[in-house]
Amino acid sequence: MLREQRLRDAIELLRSLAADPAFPARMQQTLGALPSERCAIPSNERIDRRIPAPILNKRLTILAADGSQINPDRHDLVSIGLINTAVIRYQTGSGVSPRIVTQTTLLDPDDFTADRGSLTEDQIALRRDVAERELLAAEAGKSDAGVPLVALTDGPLELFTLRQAYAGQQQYIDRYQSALQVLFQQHVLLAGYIDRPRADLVVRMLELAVLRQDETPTTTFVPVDDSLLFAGLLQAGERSAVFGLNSRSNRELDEALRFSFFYLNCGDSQRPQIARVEIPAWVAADPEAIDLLHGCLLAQTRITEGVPYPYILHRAHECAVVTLAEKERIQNLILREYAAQRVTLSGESGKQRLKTLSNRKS
Amino acid sequence: MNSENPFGRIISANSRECVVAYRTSEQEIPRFGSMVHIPVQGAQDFEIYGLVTDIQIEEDGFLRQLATADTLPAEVLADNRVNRNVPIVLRILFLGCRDENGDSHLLPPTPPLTLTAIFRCNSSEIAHFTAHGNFGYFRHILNAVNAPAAELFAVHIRLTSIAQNAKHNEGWTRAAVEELITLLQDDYAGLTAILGALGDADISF
Amino acid sequence: MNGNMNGQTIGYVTGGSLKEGLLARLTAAPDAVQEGGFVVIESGGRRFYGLVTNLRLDASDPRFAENRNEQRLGPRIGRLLHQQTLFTEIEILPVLMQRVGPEPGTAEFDRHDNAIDPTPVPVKTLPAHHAPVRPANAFDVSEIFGDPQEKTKFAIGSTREQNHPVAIDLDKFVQRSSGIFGATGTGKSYLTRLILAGLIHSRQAAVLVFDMHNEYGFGDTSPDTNIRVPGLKDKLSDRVKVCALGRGTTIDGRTPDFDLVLEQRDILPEDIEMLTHELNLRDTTPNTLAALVRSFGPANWFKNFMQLKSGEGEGSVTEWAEKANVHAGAAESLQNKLRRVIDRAYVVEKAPANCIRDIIGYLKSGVSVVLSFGKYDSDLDYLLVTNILTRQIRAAWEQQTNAFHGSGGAKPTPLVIALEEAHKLLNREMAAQTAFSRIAREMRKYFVTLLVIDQRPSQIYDEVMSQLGTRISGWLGDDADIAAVLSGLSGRDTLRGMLSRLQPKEEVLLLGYGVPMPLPVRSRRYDDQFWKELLKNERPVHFEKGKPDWLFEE
Repeated sequence: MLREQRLRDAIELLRSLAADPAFPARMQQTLGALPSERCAIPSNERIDRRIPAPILNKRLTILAADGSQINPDRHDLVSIGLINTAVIRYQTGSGVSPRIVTQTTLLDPDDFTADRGSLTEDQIALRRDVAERELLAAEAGKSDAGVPLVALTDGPLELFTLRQAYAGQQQYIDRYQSALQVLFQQHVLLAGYIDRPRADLVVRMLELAVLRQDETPTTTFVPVDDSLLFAGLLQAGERSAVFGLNSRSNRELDEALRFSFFYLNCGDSQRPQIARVEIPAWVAADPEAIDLLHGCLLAQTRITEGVPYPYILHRAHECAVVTLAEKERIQNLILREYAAQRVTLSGESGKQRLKTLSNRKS
Repeated sequence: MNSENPFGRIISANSRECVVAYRTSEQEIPRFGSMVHIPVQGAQDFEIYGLVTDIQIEEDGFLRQLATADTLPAEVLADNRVNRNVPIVLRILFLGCRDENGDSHLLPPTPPLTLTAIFRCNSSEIAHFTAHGNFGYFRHILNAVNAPAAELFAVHIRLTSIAQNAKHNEGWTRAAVEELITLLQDDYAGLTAILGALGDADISF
Repeated sequence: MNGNMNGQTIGYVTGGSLKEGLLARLTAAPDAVQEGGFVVIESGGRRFYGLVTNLRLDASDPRFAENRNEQRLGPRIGRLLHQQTLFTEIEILPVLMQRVGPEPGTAEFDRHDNAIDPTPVPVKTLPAHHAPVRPANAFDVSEIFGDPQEKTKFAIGSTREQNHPVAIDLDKFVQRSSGIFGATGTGKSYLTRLILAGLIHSRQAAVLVFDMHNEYGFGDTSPDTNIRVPGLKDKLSDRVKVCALGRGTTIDGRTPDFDLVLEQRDILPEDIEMLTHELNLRDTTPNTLAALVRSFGPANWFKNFMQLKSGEGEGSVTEWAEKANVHAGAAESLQNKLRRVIDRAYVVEKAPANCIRDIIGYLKSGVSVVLSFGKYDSDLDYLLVTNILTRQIRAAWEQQTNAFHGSGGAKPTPLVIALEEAHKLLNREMAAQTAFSRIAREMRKYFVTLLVIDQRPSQIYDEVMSQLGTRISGWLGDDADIAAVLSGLSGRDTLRGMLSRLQPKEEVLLLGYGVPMPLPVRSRRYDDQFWKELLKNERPVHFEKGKPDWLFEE
């Protein structure tokens, strides 16, 4: 079978490269010539390293953030755009019920009315991502000093949505970085959890590692991706070495904020399940922090048996999601408000009113 | 939940009852057998009175995952009991309505619209509605399909007798029990089940 | 009298039919009514009078009665449950109804058409559902049975529950034959005395009492208590003559007003035929008797026959028999048997006075006669004397009635013939042969009726029983006797139970077409108080309530 053969080949290559002390330096050099190539970069850990589940004997505070959005629909009687974000605070070993903070923001209707061009879904998603990080940063500031603070988001830390440029985007990038700075200042153990990743960052690194000079990169190991590779490598509960991330957007970040990642097998001995965990540089540089994160994530994924996904991230998602019924309810509230103010639906003042309407619930 | 704030919204309704979805934590679950009123949109001074005949906590795939775990951290238990917006579905049986002419034990002419809010009745409203007429609304409870009539009557009469006693209408409870006996003379099993439940409810009169 | 007489309601009508009677739900305690209770139902301007014929404990579902739910549900809920699901149902035999119109002073009264019934009529319709049922009050009782103060009414007793006086109508009592029944020891003869006293006192009729046991004329001593009770002669001497059978007979040491002896010529062949059983007569006797009448005539056959010698030759029975073409042995046998008759001291060839004519004379003048049998207490005496006497009386009344109707003669005095041990004369075999059954059947139009007194009514010929208008019966134990008393009446099934459950000594059931409706009553006592009240008729009738013991057992 081609896939098994290529997997064996990839693992063999990984091990042989790991045994080569010159490999990391050589790789740095190769990538110097390919700055826009998205792939893994070896760190100071051997790339075939398998780190077993650490014993987690510390109390942690875990924050998890998630967001959801309602994209404006021109067919609705009242078209609304909305971002809802939630942060859940979970104190391990406390027995205390987690606390939930949600924040709902109605988008300025001027931003998506026909005469001024309309917001794309990606643009709203960017604002949502920013809002998540900002809420996370704000909540991190309310935590007790002395208890390690883990902050989790669903998905990569890296902002994919930056690919499409549009006017006014930079302010959100700035706000995003500011939020990361706040988390960095407080040494919050930030991580982005990517469930069932389909990336081939490490496989790509292997392909590039054996590339001779002047050769065009090829996809030697397709269909093997990182999940398959580490599922073959990691035992249950083990994590991989930490890898750096070679990408253009990562390079544009402050060095302290650049993202690394490792893979984690949060499955069991029968069914391995690989997750990628993205971490910022300040976490990657702290082995104890990585251990805490490793243990914390394993514990979280094991709460729901058979479905290894961090409990707290699932809950953040539940809190953030806006149901259709809730959307209708908000629209009804707006309609009622219009009626009370005797506003016609097409009138200017209606849009003005909307700007002032925002509902914060907790 | 209090009598001013709604505790749920109607998601479906027919002439006899409605279903109310409700997302809340455990402490706020409305009581089985308690009375509610439903203001009807677009009609001043028109309200429907109802009785909570069933409370169902909807199944949730995530809970099912949690339930199969060998051990659960205390925080997770607390989270699910306190925070999680478990969908609760209430079934509300209509008992009658009130319009500008006063209370009536006839069913409302039209069911309430979806998403209408439901409010709990206060003691005074309970006393007023249940003392109106001659227990005509009992027939709605007796005719209810898939409702535990005995349990409903036990809870309803116990709660209502408190409201009536507060209004110095001490004869209500006895009259209510007599009315039930009259209505159910030909249904031995039904009547003794209800009276047995009333006995368990320790109702004094 | 149309005021609010409702009194206390004891229930309400829930159903029923004319055939099967009414059903009513009792709202009072079950012991508020008794079987036989006289109840009134007012509905739609009508008043329905009826009798409680049955009480039944019922439940809306039998399981409410079967299971002791109060133990499970607790006393308070249990009590409420039982109040509504367990109840007493009464069955009411509706008998009479009367349109009384609405209450005066109401709107209905002003509108109504004055269609009211002056007297109650037999029930032909029913009260409405939920019509209230109440016990009859004194007004109701007198509305139905008449005012005991009236001259032609006689208070025979009182209702059992409320003690309202109940009267019988003496006019009706004498217009048809009547009966007084009751097992031995139920006070039947005192009841008879009571009624006879009322009858004689009222002058509604003259009474001829065949006093077989010498009880009525001079009174006697109660076998139970040894107390002497007065006789009719003692209290009503100007209206009663005591006549004793046989010359010089005294009754209990007292001398009768006159004696009764029979002349041989009074005896007719039918009188002998009637004695077939007593004299053990043969089948051939009617032939022989007929031959005797042919030979000697109806007046002298007995004397001549008895003078025939035995043996052969002239003047002998045999010679007569051969001439008359009669079997000689049968004739001789008959003559032998008839010696028992001719040997009776009261049978004489020629009486010093016509005693029978005297008796008829008294009776015609309205004076009652008590015929005491004295020492002649055999069935033969009783049958012979009553039959001969009655036949002549009947003839006299027939003649007088015919004269009354035909030639403007005086109206005959109504006559009541009181027969003790009536079954001896009116049994199935005898009835055809005696004068009595004919009286019972058809003498009403000749102003002669019977008062039949018996403890075994079942032995009385049912054709006679069915003629009895007023029947007053004490307790009867025998089913056949009960059936006989009820023969020819409607509602027999319900009355049967009532009769069998009467108190043995103080209660009687009034029934028959002579009374407006059947009713069990506590009978009046035959005592000094009774006589005091009877003889001072103006005084209101008074009953002492609730003494359970029978007068004669004090």
